[in-house]
Amino acid sequence: MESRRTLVYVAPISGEPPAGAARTADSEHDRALVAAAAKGDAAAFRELYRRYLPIVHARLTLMVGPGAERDDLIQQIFLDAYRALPRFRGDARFATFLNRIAINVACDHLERRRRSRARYEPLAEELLDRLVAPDASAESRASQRQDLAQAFEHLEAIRPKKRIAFVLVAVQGVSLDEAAELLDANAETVKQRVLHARKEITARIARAAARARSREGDR
Amino acid sequence: MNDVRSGSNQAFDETADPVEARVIAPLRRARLEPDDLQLARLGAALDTALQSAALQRARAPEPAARRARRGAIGVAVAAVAIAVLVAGPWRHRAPPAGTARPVGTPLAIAYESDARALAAPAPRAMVVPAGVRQRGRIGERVRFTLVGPGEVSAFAVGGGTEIDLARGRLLVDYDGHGGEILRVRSPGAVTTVVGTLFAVEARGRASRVAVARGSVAVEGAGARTKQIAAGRSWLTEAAETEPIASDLAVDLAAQDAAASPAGVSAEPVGVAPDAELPPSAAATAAHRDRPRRLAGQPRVARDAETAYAAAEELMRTRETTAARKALLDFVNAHPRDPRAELALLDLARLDLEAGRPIAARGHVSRLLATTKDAALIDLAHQIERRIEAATATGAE
Repeated sequence: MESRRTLVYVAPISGEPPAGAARTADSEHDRALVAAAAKGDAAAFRELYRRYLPIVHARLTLMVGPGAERDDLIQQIFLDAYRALPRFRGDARFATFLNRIAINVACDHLERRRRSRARYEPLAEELLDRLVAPDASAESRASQRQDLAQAFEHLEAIRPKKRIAFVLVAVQGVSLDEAAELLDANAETVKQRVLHARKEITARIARAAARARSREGDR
Repeated sequence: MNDVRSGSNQAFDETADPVEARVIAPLRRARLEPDDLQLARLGAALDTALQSAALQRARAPEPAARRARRGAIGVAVAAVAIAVLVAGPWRHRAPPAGTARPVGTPLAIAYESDARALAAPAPRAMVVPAGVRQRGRIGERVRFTLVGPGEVSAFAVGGGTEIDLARGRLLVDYDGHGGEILRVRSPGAVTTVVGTLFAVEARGRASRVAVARGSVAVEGAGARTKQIAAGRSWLTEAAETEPIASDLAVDLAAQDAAASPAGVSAEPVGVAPDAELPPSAAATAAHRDRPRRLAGQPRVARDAETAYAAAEELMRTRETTAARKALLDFVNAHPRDPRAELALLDLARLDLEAGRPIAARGHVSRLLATTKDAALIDLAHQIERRIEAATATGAE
């Protein structure tokens, strides 16, 4: 279990909170900023925003995709956090408080998108290009764009709660305990959601491969 | 599969774990942090939204417990105020030092918004306790907010309107399109207005007048007259005008937002029976719909928000000609809006991509002349270098 805890921030997601003493110092600084922001200090809230935007941006990109609505959701998340700050009692870290809001906003958005039954539109090349390393060769960039387009398409087929659990645990490397805290569920439920998501994606990949083989056969 | 996370970023055997190879690994390789332009855009959008949220928070009802406590105090204050008004005929208070008492017919003041319960429902005067903001109207041309502790009354004088501010902060949005003159008498000052958004604050024996839109003439002690332009404020005891203090600018922005169509209920509540009714509904609509611009502090403008959102959408969908026009319109219409700087940056990029480096240089120069944002300055310099390269190759 201890080794799992050390794996909490292993995922290569930039802007994740630091570990150990630095994290404690950051928490203290956060507390001071949160207290000031709750009293209406806009500069303090902007500082919190500056510190946490990369984390929220990364998480939202994975959860809802890099489409235009992501930026609107980010704004909504920080506004919700700003409005909720006077009620934030400080019994959790600000990062947890903010991540919970982010996850709720993402989940609501995905549910709405799913209910609307809008046909999945492949992501624009320009959006995918922003996710690709700028120094890669043209060929490599094209290949990475294609991989990302497929990855997001697979994620889109998964139900929101499973998708979010999968992104947190399988992609971002968050521990089951921490994911459970963020999702307000128990660790076993989160684990089941991740496993179901994996199974569904595996089945989708298999079906896609079968279709590809069938097309090859037709030729 | 005890640990449902697959921990490392090594190459995966696709046949063994296709999910890892096809989904997890590509997503982990992705650059998920926002770039400088996204940071600047999101930051500007949030700044604007925060201004709006801060205003809403300031106007939001208090928590139940405090509200109940304040409610008891409010009821007591209201009871006292009503008792004073009911006790006898209209008793106007003594004129403030340095100003003559207005001579004319008392005008009715119409209360607006839900906060009226905390204020005394006076037909010809408005009295509000400390901590209360009460919106009101005098006829159809004067919309105001009185910040308590405050007291205000109004009179019709020679075809114009005179407001008597005994105490408190009065934020006024006045439509002078009918050619009528509005005067505000306050301690040590008489402010004459033709049509503008301004504030008068009674401060002991002196007054502070601040102008957000238009200009006003203020007559201070000793018949000293001062013309106050938009964005300036004047304390009648001071020699010179000064920029509007931030707290007052926020109040003026709130007053401006409240006077806009979305901020005013279609059917004003609590209109006294003898209130002066609008001379023309069309004139009122024209007043409400006219373009507004607030000096002193960038206000949260719904029209600006809509215009910028439209331009952003066109940028997203890569409709570059329409996006360019929308951005230009936005910059020209809202030059002081924080998003105008981002619009200039986008315009520079669009013009550069379209092979118009000279036009792009114009946008960059304009941006560098106004912005203090280090990230934007850096981006502007990057575009400048690209412009130089494009110019060297003979574009445009």
